Amino acid sequence: MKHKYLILLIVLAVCAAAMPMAAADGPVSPTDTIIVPTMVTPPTTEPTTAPTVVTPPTTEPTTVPTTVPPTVPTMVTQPTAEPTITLVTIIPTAVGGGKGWIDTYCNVDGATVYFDGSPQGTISGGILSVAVSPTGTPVSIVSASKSGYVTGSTSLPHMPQSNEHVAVYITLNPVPTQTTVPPVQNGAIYAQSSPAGAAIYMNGNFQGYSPITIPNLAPGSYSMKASLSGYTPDTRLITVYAGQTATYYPTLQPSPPAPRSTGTVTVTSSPDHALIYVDGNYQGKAPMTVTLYPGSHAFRLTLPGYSDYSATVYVNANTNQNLNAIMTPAVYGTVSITSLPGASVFMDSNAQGTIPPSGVLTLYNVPNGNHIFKITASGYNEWMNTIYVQPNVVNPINAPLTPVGPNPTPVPATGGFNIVSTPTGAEVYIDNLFKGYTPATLNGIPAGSHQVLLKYTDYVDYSTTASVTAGQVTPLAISMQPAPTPTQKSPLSPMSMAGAGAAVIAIGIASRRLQP
Amino acid sequence: MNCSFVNSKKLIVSSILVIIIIGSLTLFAYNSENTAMQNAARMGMKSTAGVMATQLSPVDLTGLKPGDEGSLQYNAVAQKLRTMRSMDDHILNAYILKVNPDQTVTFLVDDLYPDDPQGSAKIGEISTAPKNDILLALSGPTVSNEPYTTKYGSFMTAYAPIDDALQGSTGNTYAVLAIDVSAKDYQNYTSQGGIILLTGFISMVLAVGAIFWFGGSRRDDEKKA
Repeated sequence: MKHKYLILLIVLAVCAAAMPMAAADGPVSPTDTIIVPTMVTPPTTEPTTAPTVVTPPTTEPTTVPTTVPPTVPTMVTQPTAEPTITLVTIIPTAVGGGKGWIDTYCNVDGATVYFDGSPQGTISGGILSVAVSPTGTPVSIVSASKSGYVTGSTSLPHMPQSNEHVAVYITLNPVPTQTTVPPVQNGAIYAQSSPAGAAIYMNGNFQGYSPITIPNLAPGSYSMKASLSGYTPDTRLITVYAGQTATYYPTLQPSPPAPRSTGTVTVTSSPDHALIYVDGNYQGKAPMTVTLYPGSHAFRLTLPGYSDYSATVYVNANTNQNLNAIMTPAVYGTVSITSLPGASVFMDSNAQGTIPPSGVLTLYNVPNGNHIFKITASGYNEWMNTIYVQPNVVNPINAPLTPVGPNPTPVPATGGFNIVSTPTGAEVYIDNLFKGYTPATLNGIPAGSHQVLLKYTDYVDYSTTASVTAGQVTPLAISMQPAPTPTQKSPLSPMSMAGAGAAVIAIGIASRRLQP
Repeated sequence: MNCSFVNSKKLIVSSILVIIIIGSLTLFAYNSENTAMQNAARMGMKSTAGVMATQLSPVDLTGLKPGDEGSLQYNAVAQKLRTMRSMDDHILNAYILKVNPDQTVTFLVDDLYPDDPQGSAKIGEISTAPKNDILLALSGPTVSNEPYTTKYGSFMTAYAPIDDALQGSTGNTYAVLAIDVSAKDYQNYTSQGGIILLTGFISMVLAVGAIFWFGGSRRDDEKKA
């Protein structure tokens, strides 16, 4: 029994002694630093340009720094999962005076890192750590490249000192791919009206007659119209899609009948080309057919050198009448002009002679009608007027000429108003002519009394008569009154409805009560 | 007891029927009234715009370009627009739009410019009004489907084509005339059916009251008998 306890104690002692050793050689916990053996460049027998102090190559594993850089700039893409970072130390050919490390961080794994154009390795796990000699050939430019990415480079801030890490960060961007924008494909509109032959307009512009295809239209909405005489035009929006032909099939409805029937008058003249006036309105040159509403219409035809032809035609509905105007040569009249002796006389820009010493010039055989007379004399203001020459009579014209002299000081025959109103912005009418908005200063108004009217939305029109004195501005300050709110008028007011209902009820009650 | 119950049931059913019938007729009349008022207002606006457009000639507008605001040509057209719209105080603004080949709609003449250069549209300024209404106006007078709002306010707008027949074409549209009416005015004008609703409600109350009154009197008579 004692042996058993003794054996147990021995075993426990052995176990206690073995535990620290087991802990020292135990598995690596995730938080432990991973130690990676250094890649060792085999010693070369060839002479190298080694620095003065050469550290002999060692076969012992080089212990890499136990701390990973705590912060990584945001521009370096971090993998989502915590990667197992493998630090690879490359010993450059010229190493001396201890070791430093250039840690190149890059967002693209597999990118090749160059020191001054010399490849050093590839990025793995977002980093490449290269051991360099602080006293070796200095590195100035660190670059990284990979197919499909734009090569990135940066300057090394300084060469690392012994056991120092200098970090550089390079971000590689994908090579921008040329995005080819496909050309916008146009569409078309096919228009076919019923009945066919309608004029087709697109966005207000005539395109042709139905059926028609309008090609090369950018996608979008288009305003289409089909118009045909005797039919009501059709308008609508048509949407065109790329590469497709939109259809426009308007079915035109016959126009409603004219509100009134019409008749026609075919007008001819001898000689031709007389100007036709119907009820004072110019219609065209004969021969032509005039469409008129039923009833009496006054026709007048004029032709230079001929007397006017006048006739009244009674137009019947849905019938055509003929009117043949035989134009007779114009009948002449006589013009007697009284003016300054020696003055030149012109009629319709043609010289007619000068006023004789008697002061009266008589012109014979002047065609009847309107003529422009102009009388001029040196040193006098020109006289010009339009005179209607009546046939077969003497038409007197009195044309006094006034001498040309210094302009007398004009006596203002006009004045003005200075109108302000409350509210401002009211429309101002003087003698029913719109003049502007208040406040307004209106000049050039003839002296005398004038009707002043102010209008403003939702205000009662203000009207007054005010006088203008020549050369003065009459002030007017007007306060407008708001218009009363119009009351809704209803043919059947609620009160009347209520009264009617009450009456019905009363009649019903009375009839019930009065029943025997 | 049974007879009284049956009579009460008849009264209630009758009342419900009366409410349904009068209510339906009232709503129908109310909607018809509003629709008719809207159509009348829209037709009036279209007609006004159409007539105004016939008084404008492309000759007056040719050559206007950005920066010409305030020029003699511009002011002449603006004055013409103002004179035409002065016939109706409800028309707040008259202006001319140009539909460009790329389908954009830009201002050409704004009749408010001479008096309010800062608050009016300049030549070439893009219109933000509903474009389809303006495109349709290239083919004939039209009016907004419903009031809309831009930076200048809320409006109902009528549009009409300005024909360039005077230039010897085949009736092409040179530009579009637009006239604005305040959206509030439009809604006030087209929402006058409230009296119909009130009348219908009063009729409903009177009818139901009469039913119960006469129904009660009849039961009293039957009891007395």
